[in-house]
Amino acid sequence: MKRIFLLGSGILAAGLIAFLLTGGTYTLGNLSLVLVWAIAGMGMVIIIGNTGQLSLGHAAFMAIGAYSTAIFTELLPGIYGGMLLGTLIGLFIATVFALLIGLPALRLRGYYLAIATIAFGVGMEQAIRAMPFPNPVYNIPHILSFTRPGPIRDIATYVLMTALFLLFYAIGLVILKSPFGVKFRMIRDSQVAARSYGTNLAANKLQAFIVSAVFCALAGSMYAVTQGVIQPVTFGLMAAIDLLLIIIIGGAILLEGGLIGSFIIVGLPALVLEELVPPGSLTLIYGILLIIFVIALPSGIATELYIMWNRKMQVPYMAVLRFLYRLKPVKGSFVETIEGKQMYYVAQGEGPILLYIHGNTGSHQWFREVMDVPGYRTVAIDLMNFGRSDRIETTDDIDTYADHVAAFIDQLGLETCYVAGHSFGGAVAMSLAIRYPNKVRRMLLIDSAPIDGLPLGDDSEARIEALRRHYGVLKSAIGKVMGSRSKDRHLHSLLTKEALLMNREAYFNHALALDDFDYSEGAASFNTPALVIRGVLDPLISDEDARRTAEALKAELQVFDNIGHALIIEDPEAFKRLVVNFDPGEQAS
Amino acid sequence: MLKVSDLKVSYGPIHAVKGISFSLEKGEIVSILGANGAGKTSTLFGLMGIVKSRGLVELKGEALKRKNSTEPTTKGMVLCPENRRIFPELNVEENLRLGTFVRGDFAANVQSVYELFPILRERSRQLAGSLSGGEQQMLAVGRALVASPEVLLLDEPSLGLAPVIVDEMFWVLKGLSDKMSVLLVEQNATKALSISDRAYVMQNGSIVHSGNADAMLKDDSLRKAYLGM
Amino acid sequence: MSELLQAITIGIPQGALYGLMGFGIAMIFRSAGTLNFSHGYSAMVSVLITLSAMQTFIGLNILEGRLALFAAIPVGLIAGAVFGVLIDLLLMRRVKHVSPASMLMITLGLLLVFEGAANLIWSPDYESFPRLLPGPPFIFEGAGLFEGIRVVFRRNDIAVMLIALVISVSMAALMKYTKIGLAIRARGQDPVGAQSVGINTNRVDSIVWGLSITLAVVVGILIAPITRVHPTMLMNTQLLGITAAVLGGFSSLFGAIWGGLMIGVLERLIDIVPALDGYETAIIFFLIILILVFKPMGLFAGKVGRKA
Repeated sequence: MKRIFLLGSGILAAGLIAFLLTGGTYTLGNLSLVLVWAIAGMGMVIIIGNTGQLSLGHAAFMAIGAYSTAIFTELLPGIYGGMLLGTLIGLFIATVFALLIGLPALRLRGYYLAIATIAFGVGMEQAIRAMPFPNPVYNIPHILSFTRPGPIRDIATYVLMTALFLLFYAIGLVILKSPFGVKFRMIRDSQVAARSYGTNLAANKLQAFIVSAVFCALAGSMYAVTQGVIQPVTFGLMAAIDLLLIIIIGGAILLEGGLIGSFIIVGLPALVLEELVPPGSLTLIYGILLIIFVIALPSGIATELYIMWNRKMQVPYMAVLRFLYRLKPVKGSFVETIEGKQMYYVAQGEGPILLYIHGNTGSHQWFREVMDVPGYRTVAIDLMNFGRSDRIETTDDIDTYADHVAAFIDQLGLETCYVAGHSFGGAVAMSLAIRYPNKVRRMLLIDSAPIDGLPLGDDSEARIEALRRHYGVLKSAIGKVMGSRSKDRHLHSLLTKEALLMNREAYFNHALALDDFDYSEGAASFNTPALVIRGVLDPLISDEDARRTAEALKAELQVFDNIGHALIIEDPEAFKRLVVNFDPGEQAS
Repeated sequence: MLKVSDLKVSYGPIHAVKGISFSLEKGEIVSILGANGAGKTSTLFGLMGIVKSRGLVELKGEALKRKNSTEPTTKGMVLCPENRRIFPELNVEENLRLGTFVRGDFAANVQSVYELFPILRERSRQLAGSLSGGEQQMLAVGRALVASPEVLLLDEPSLGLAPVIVDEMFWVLKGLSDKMSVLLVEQNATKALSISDRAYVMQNGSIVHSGNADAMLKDDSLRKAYLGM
Repeated sequence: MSELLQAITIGIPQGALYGLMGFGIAMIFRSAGTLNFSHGYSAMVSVLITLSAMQTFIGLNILEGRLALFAAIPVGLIAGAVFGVLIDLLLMRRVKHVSPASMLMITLGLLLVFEGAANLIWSPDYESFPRLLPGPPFIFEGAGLFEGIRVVFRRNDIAVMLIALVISVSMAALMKYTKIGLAIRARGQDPVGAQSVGINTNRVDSIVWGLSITLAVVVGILIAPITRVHPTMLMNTQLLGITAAVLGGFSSLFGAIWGGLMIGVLERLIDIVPALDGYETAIIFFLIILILVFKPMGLFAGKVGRKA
């Protein structure tokens, strides 16, 4: 949906720019032609890029569409009746021929298919040439014949073609994302695998041929009713090569490639006014371009851009997002902890202190829905290296983080706190409680790292790098941790942006820190009241882990149904009730 | 005879051979063993200049440039490739004659090949494409032999052949060692070790073990770990 | 009856040209592994070069008339050979190992480059090209049993037949008896096998490219008097050359020549039927599709089954 909107506005904006630059609507005519060829180009993306059938004869379908529309518009009285009928008949004939050429295609591969389809294309051109049609066919009525030729018609045609392009773009997207598209791509990638998957190869190939033929036929029809003149050579060998060029340069796999390619192959020459340039030079340039692209950019612009986006542009993209997000004004306060470093926190309410410690890639925002616990003053911090707190030297030691929290407690004169730690924060809480027992009077561990840490997996390094370097991956990981709340787009987006604020250098160190963490022995002397909580659906911490932790800390274990890794956002009310219930002493006073 | 130092073969980002070194003395039969994809064929191709490779390859003390396969073949290192690779539309004799394209006296050598593989003499006018798998393998070996190699490289000669034929083949190979040095790449470790003097084991592009062939045959843990026996 | 014979007398020389074109295309396909869509176009540029050379010789008063033509021909042939070698050396070698599709695309790019260059450096205009054997055609009029039969033999066609024959025989001899011919055949049958006997397959490929295009230049020079010289002069011939190669089944090089002859005659025969007038090319192209589907190994397939 978003893509269609973006693309549509982009195309209309381009039209506007063209209008402003040239002070007239003449160029809109050229741009309309670009859109017509773009529709055909998308047909090629479907048959070649997505189904892997090297068909070089699709220009013939354009010819079918064009001639059918032209002839019937001429034959029938009343322009629009004829035009519509002609176009529909064109689509029908194209379907028939798609089946006809599709059938041999079932048996042919690679070069042989290429030759057969070229033969089809040239054969069709020759056949049309030999038929009793006028050559060229002049004076085909314009699709907007009720307007007079002029700026209004140009603009209206452009808008109409844009709408038509977007319609077919949407259709194309739906088809390619659907099971049909999946089967097409299976055929492209491995016919053997596709067959063993149980797909009816023949049927799918024919479907791909028919769909792409329809796209091309429609494009041909639109060509006829916007350009007004057609001849056999318009859709001959050169047109076939143009179609191929469009997807090679534009990109064969993504539908956008049809548009980009069409703009470059059809639009630029028309815009540059072919008459002003010596004959042959454009052909020469395109030939050289094609060769360069095949050698250097084999997947075409759209795909290469997509690859570049995912491989190279993510890190700068995240840096920009991070920068912009940091500009947001903050409502909390800063306190100095150790060696001049400042820790950020937000506080709410009155009463005994309830200290919240967040998890990995997290921040105080994870507790935003549980700040209002009646009877307590909730203090949610950003650990050092996280959120808006200062960066400290990257460390593999959870204790360092706990030390800063201890300093924080001292600085604010908090004496002793009710501490709640989530995930990674749970490890910090344990380190704090075990080493500074007089600072922690009660501890709540929510889906916490186990008492003996979380071991590194074999592929941890790769996975962590992916998180670090790709926004989409990070976002998806946060979504998983959000459990049942992941559908809340606003919260998801917020928490992902908060994740961006974590010290990028610390990603792997935190994983190492959790791997190293082990207070199973230290817990022996631990006798502060503690409660270990686990959501049944938690993907990161197992039931075993929770039990072990609870046992070591001589703590109670509570399990929540239907909750994942983050009770604090999945069911804030339940959490608040839990907090209060576990602290009977305070309730009493 | 053959000394290889730090041979590297890459296909784009894939490192098939990661810097291996080994040697082959005169009259030795040495095996290179390992699973599919270990880099054995790439090693042979790299030695022959069929694919680009880096590292030093010395044949009888002389460094080979390996820009293409003409130089190594001319200088006496001949490859009998995996999957036979004979010329199906030429007959047996024409196939053999092609073996002397850059090196070797056909007239002088072809008789000894026919002695080793009498079935080839019988079928000398038959199109190579119509021979059985075993016969084609013999033809491929024969084609390599007519070039009077000093170092013979064999890539999986037992692939796809019936055990009886394999035995016959290896018996012939064993007999060759008095005239030339043989580097044998094989997945069938038992057979290979049974005729070899020494062996190397390759895994993921590197040599992980080397030693005396007899010792390797008897070493159970080695066999289980690398040779899947 | 006259018409039938006439169809043959015109069709066969024409077909020989298709066959020669197809022979080169099949040779590149077998060896280098790609269909060359720029085959005719590179030849066309070479013919333009020949024409310019001839005009230069005449213009500088070095040679005149026929001598200028015969001196210019080697220039064109060499140009073709150079194009072929450079195409392989500079372009094909880079993508050979990537995929056959890349090679195919490059030949399409070359098609555009050659056509564009022809338009740019020379012009889109049609220029005339002298016939190799000028003079009036031979007219055969039957007497006695053959009363009423009249067949015309064009002189140029005779030149075409002779040259086609000479080339075919030379090519056959080259393939069978020379070392390079042997290397070409070996490389085409099994590239790894060829490398194993020490053949430098890269060098063989360049030679194949150079040789094939030179053959196409010969076709261009022979057909130029009829089609006249212009950027798309060999477009049709190339397509029919590909058809000839398909008929012959790419595995048999000489099958392409027979295929070409058949197409040449078929074209003329269809022409005789008034109802089908104008449809010859269309019919032939739809024929290709049928052959590809039902007899992909070509009409003459039979020998050792080889996957092209």
